[in-house]
Amino acid sequence: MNASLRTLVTALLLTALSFAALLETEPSVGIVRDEGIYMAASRRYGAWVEGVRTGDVAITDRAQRDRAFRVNAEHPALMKIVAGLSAEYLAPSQAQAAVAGSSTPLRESTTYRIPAMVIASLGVGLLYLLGVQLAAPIAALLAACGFLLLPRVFFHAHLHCFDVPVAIWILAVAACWFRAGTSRLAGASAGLALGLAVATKHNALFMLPLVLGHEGLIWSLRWYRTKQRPPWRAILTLRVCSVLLLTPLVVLATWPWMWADTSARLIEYLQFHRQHAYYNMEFLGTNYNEPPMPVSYPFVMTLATVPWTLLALAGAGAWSLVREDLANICADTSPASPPRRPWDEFWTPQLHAATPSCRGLGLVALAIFPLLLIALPSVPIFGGTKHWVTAYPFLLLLASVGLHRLTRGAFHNLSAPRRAVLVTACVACVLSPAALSTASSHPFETAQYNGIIGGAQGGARLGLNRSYWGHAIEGLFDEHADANPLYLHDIHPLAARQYRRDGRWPAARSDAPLHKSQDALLFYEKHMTADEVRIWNDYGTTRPAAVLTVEDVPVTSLYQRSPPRTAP
Amino acid sequence: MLTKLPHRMLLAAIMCVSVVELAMTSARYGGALRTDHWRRASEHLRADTPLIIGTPWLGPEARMRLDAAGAPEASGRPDLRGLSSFDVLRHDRDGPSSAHVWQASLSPRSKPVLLSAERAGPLRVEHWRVERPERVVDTLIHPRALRVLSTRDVERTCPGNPTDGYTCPEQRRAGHRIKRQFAEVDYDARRCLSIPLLSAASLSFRRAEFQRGDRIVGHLGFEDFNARLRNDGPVTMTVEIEGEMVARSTFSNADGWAGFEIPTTPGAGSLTVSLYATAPGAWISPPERYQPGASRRVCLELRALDEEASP
Repeated sequence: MNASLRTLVTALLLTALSFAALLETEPSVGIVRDEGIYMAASRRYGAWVEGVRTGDVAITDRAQRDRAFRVNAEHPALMKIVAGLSAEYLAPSQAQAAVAGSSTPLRESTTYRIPAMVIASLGVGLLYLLGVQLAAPIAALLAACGFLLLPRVFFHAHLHCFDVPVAIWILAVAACWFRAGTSRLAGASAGLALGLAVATKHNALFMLPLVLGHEGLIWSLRWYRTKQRPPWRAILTLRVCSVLLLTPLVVLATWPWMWADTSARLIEYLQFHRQHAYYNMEFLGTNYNEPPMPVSYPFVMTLATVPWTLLALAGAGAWSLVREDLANICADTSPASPPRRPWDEFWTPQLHAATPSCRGLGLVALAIFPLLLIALPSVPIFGGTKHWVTAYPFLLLLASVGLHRLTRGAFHNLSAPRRAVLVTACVACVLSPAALSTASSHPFETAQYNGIIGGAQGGARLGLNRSYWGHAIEGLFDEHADANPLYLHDIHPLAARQYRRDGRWPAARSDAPLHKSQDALLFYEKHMTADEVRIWNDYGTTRPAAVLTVEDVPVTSLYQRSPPRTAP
Repeated sequence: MLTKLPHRMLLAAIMCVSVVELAMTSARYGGALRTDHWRRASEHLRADTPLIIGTPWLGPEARMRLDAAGAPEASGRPDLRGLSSFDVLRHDRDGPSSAHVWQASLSPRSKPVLLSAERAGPLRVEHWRVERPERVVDTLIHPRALRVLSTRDVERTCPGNPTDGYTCPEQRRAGHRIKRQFAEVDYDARRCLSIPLLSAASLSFRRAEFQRGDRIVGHLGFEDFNARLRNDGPVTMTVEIEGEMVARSTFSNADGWAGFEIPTTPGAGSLTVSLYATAPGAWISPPERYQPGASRRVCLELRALDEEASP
C-alpha cells in the first residue's frame, strides 16, 4: 500500500470510527432548545423536498414553498433539508412507531442528527488528511482526534445544529483555497465549499473577506518581490472567481425561502443576526446580557475549555509556520513553471507566478479570527464556546504542526521506529486530558472545564457558565418516571414534543405552567436563581427530588410538589 | 525549524503540562461525592444549629440530602446577625473558610470563632461560635408579626392574611400580592416581604406594638434580574418609630441586597416603614423604550436586635 492510499484509508477509518462513537453516545444527549425548532423545521423542509420529488408539490408553487420554509427562516435551510430527508428515509415509520409505542433501532431525533454527525466525522477525516500534508501521519492524528475529543466539540458534534458543520465546511473552504494555488479542481471547489458553509450558518459569511484579503496579500507580496505592480487580472484567480460566483448560487439553490422576495428576505436575514438578542451569560461571576461583553471573554473561555497542552502546541505550530512564511516572502524564488499561456496564472497561480502561498499566515488568521470577532464589544453574545468553534480545527492543525516539528527536532537522531513510538506516545499523552474530560462529563460537556482550572468544579468556583440550552436531563427521570404535568423551565416546548415523539418521555407527560405542574425542572445558570425561587414559593419546598451533577457540580434539579425525603 | 530553543526541552515542558492536566483531570473524574459522605456530614452537624452552605454549588444536593439544609427556613437567610452559632458546609477543595467572610454578615461587635472542623470525604463541616452575638427582639416578616401588620396604599387598608398575602385595591386587578416568600435579589435567594410597587404611589407597613432592641437592621433589594437590568426609578424608604422619622434612604437597582442599620432605644411602640417609588415605570434597553406601567418588586426584611447578655 503506498503512502497516499494508506493516508486515505486511515482518514476513512477515522471518519467511520468517529461516526460510530458519535452514534453510540448520541442517545444520552438531551435535545437542546434550538434543536426542538430545527427538528420541527426539518420535518417541514424534508416533507416539501419529498413532495417535490414525488410530484405532490410543485416546486414553482410559491405559497406551498413559503409555508414550508417560513419556519425558522432566520437560518439557511441546507442542514434542515438534509436532516428532514434523513428522517424521511431513515425513520419512515418512526412517527407511527412513536404512536404505537414500539421501539425502533433509531429514534426520530437521531435521524435528524445523523447528517451533522456525518459532517463532523468527515471533518475528522479531513483534518487527518490536512494534518498529513502539513505535518506527518502520526502528528496528524493529534489534529483529527483532538478536535472530536474536545469536550464541547464532542457535545456539539452530536446535535442537529449548525456550529460543528459550519466549522467543518470552513475547514473545507480553507483546504480548497490553499490547495487552489496548484490544483484547478481545488480552485473550482472553493466556491462550492463556501456556498455550503454559508448555506449552513451565517458566520461563514466572514470567510469571504478573509479569503479575498488573503488573495490581496499574495498580490501585494508579488508586487513587493518583483518590484513591479502585477496586472489587476492577477487577483482574479480561479478560486476568487469560484467564491464570487459559485457561493451565492449554492446558497440560493439550497434555500428555497430566498427564491421569492430575495432582496427583502436577505436584508431581513442579515438584520436578524446583526441585531440578535443578547442572551444571559455568566462570566467570572457576573451575569451579562447587555453589551458590551468583556473583550477577554472568548480568550478566557478558550483557555478554560481547551487543554493548555494543545494551545501550547498550537502556539508552537503557529510560530513555526509564520516564520516559514515570512522567510518565503523574503526569499527570491522563481515560479516552478513560468506561464506560457495568458491564463495559466488564473488556473494555478502558484505554479506560474513568484508568489508565496502564505498558508501559514492564513491558518493562523483562521485560528484567531473567530475569537477576535466575538471579542468585539458590539458583537451580540448569544452563546458560549460554540460560537468560535470554527477556530478549533485550525488550532488543532497548528498543534499537529507544532508537535511534528518539535518531535522532529527532539528525536532527529533516533531510528525511525523508535521515533514513531515516541511520537505516538506524545500524541496519546496530549490527547488524554481532553479524552478523560469528555468521558467524565458526557453528556453534559457544556459544564466541563479544563483539569488545570479544576474541571467542572473549577468552572463553578470561577463563576463560569455551567450549562445552557436546557438539555441536561439524561437519567433525571430514571427514578421519577411518573407522567406528571411538567414545568419545562429552559426546555423548548418543541424539544419536549420531540422527547415524546421519540418515546423518551411518556406521551401522557404534558407541559404545564409552574402553578399547574406537579414536577418542575431547573437548569442551573446564574440568572436562573429567579426561576428556582419561583419554584420554591409555588411548591412550598426548597428540597429537590433529584439532582443531576457533573463531577459533583449540579446542572439540573427536578422538584416535585410532594418530594419524598432522601435519606442522607 | 521551530526556534533555536532546544526542542527536547520545549517538548518535555509541554509533555509535563500534559501530565499535570491529565493528573488533575483524573483527580476529578466522575466526581467524588457519595451518599455515604452526605450521611457522615449529616452526623457531624449540630442539632438546632443553622447550617450555612459555604460552597454555593453544593446547595442543591445539600438541600436534597440534609435536613438542616432542606428546611425552608435554612434558605434565604438575610445575614448571620442574631445567630450565636452556626455550622458551615464546604467542599474540601475550597479549604477552610475565613472568619472575615462571616464577619461581613455579622455586627462589627460580634466575632465568629472556628471551634472545630470535620471531614466527610470531600465535604468539610465547620463548627462556628459567635462571640458577643446579637439577639433578635422582633421582626417585621415573622408570620406572627405579619398578623398585626397594617398594610396601606394611599390611605386604604390592603386586606389579606399572612398565609395568602395582602392585596392592595389598586393591585387587585393585576393579581399582585404583598407576601412573605423567597425572592431573588442580586442572584441570591432571600426570604423577605415581597412587595409589588406598581407606580409612584407609596406603601406603608405599620405595627402598633413593635418590640425594639438597641438597633433595627434590615435589607432592601430589587427582585428579578431582568427588572434590575432595566433602569427603574429608585425607591425611597422611611422608617418612623412612634410617629418620628428615624431613617430615610434611597435604594436603586444597582445597590443589590442593600443593608441598613438604625440605632434605637429599647422598648415597644409603633413602627411604620414606608416605600415610595420615586418615578413610575421603567426604562428598558434600548433606553428610549420607556414603559410607564412596568411593575417592580421590592424585597424587604427588617429586624430589631440587641446585644445578648454575656453568659
